[in-house]
Amino acid sequence: MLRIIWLQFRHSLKTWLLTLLLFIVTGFLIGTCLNAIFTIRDHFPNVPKPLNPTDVFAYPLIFGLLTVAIVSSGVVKLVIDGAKKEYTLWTILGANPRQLSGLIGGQLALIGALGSFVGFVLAVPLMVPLDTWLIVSFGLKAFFRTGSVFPFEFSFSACLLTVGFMAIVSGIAGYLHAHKRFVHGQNEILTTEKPRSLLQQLTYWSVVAVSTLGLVLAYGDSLIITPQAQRYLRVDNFHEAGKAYIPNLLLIILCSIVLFTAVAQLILPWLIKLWTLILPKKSSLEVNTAFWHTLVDKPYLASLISPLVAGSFMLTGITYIASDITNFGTNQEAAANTEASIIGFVGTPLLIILANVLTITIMTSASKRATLTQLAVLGFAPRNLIDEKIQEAFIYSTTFLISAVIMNIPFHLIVTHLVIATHNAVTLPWTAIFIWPVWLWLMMVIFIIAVNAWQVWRFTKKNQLMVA
Amino acid sequence: MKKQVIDVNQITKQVAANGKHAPVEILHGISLQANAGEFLSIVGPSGAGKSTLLNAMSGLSKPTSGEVHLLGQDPYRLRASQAAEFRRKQIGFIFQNYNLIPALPAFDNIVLPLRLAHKNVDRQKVAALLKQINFAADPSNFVSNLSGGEQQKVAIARVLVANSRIIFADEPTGALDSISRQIIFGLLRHLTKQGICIVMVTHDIEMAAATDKAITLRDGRLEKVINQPTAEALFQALNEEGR
Repeated sequence: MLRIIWLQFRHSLKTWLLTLLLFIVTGFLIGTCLNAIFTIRDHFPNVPKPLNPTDVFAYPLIFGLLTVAIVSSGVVKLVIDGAKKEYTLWTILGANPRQLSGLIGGQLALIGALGSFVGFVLAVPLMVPLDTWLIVSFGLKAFFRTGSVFPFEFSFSACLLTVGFMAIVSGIAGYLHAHKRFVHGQNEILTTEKPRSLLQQLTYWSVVAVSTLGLVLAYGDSLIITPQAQRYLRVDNFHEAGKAYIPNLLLIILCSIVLFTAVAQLILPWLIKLWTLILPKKSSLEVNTAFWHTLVDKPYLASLISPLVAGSFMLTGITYIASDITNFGTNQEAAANTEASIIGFVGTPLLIILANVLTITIMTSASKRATLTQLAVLGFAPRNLIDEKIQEAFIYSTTFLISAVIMNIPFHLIVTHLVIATHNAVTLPWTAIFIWPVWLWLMMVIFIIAVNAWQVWRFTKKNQLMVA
Repeated sequence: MKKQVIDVNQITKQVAANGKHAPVEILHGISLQANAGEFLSIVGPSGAGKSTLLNAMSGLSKPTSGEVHLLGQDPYRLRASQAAEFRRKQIGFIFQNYNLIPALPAFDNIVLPLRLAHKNVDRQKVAALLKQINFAADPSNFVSNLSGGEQQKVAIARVLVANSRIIFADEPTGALDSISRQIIFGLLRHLTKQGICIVMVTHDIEMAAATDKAITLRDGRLEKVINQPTAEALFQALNEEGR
């Protein structure tokens, strides 16, 4: 089986190399954290616990590994779809779902190990400034009180652990994501679009129902003054009264993300059809083509937008909680509190999500060469192709922006209500619902245009139809 | 009396049409049987449903109604792992092209069923088998470096190594030159002498005429079953249906 995994990996190397960015970024982040943990252990063994910055690096490490395990489902789907004929043949020749899943998981482990090693090596020159910045951002300046600086140490153990963790997490995630796809539809082996089994449908609707219920309960509970909050309000402890709602707000964040991810494929096409009514689809060839292109591949649409919406909502949620709920000090302290929370809890997952967006855009772009050829044959000049790609990027990004802002609105309202109800001061204005979505919208537009424009440029250079 | 290995009973196959249209029925109530060592060909014009019938018979595409039994088993009632084992051990597949796993060299393609079943691979036995079927290329070559004829020989070697009892072949000689076609057909014919039942979809009337039984298909319906068919009989049967 190991030989088969290696041979299949070698054969599909070009496809796997397109996924490298995701694992390099993850390896960079995980490696930085692990190296810092080992450095603290080796050079500062006696530092008192309140000043020990190990936790500063532990949270990004854990959240980073969890994030890559989740977002790698998009990569697995694209790899299987890109080689669906081959994997169908494997099934016909007698490979069972476990063996096929092992084949995918094994290959993902290999590319995860390779990418994380490269990421670790790239991180080495930047480890000291990054580690110092993280420690200071978390308010542990006192760690440097003795005048010492964070030393440079290349930890071989950290490097091995980085590669090891990534290989294991990628391998297991790849196996599980692939198993979901291979285990059903055994009676329709030649059909690539497998219908959901009864169990899968039940699981799906249970997830939707539970997350909706959780959302309703959490929002409902946040509208009333809970007994715990009342106890704090009676003794004029307004800050603690506000903080009593943090579990509700975290539940809202979690349920919103789960629900959106579950229904994304259903609602995003409708959202696109709705808001693009204002675009000149009838008069512009490029806009019209871009519109249909964004609708035709619903799984890609969902895997592109869902993680970003999740990241945006996490950022917004943590910003609101850190600024309006847990903040009790000067504006500077509030800003520091917010910054530390964002970096510690959301920073690493968000960077991995952005790397994932870039990765799946690169992979999908590479597989759409046939579409470019078709458009060129039908008369699209290079400038039409690039313009069409710009329109696509605009449609994807704006759909993300609208989704992200819509999700932020009720959260803003509930936090504002809570802050006022617990006699605290509202720090963030209503425009805060736009901050993170707009930043991410901008990055998304730039990423997608850059990747697609490069693909068009490469295609144009090689294609003899495009004679100047 | 030879043992019945394939029993297909009144199978239909519908496919969902897009939008509000009703499903389209591609196969209409087809029944047929085949015995061990029998060479059965399925002929008909393009779009008759030959490949659909082959896929339904071989456990790759569940019929909408009706039953399929291969070696006494209904392949559509098996669990995924059982179905995979059944395909590994009992059923062989030879397609017109895209037969072999491109990632694996010829030797690994041949022994793939054994590796998937975690069985030991006897290299000498495989080498002897390749000699028997006149495989001239280097078994360590990748598929892309083999000619069409050599690729089909690798596919035949694979079913021999797996001791398949039934082989489903969809236009196995369709992409080959006339000499390779004769060689491959000869090998398939030889396999039936070992008790293997072969079901072959083909456009080639002359090749169908060299099989034991031919069934003609038109618009998803079984029109005729001809035992010991001749080219003239097949040509006439196909022309009669065309009127």
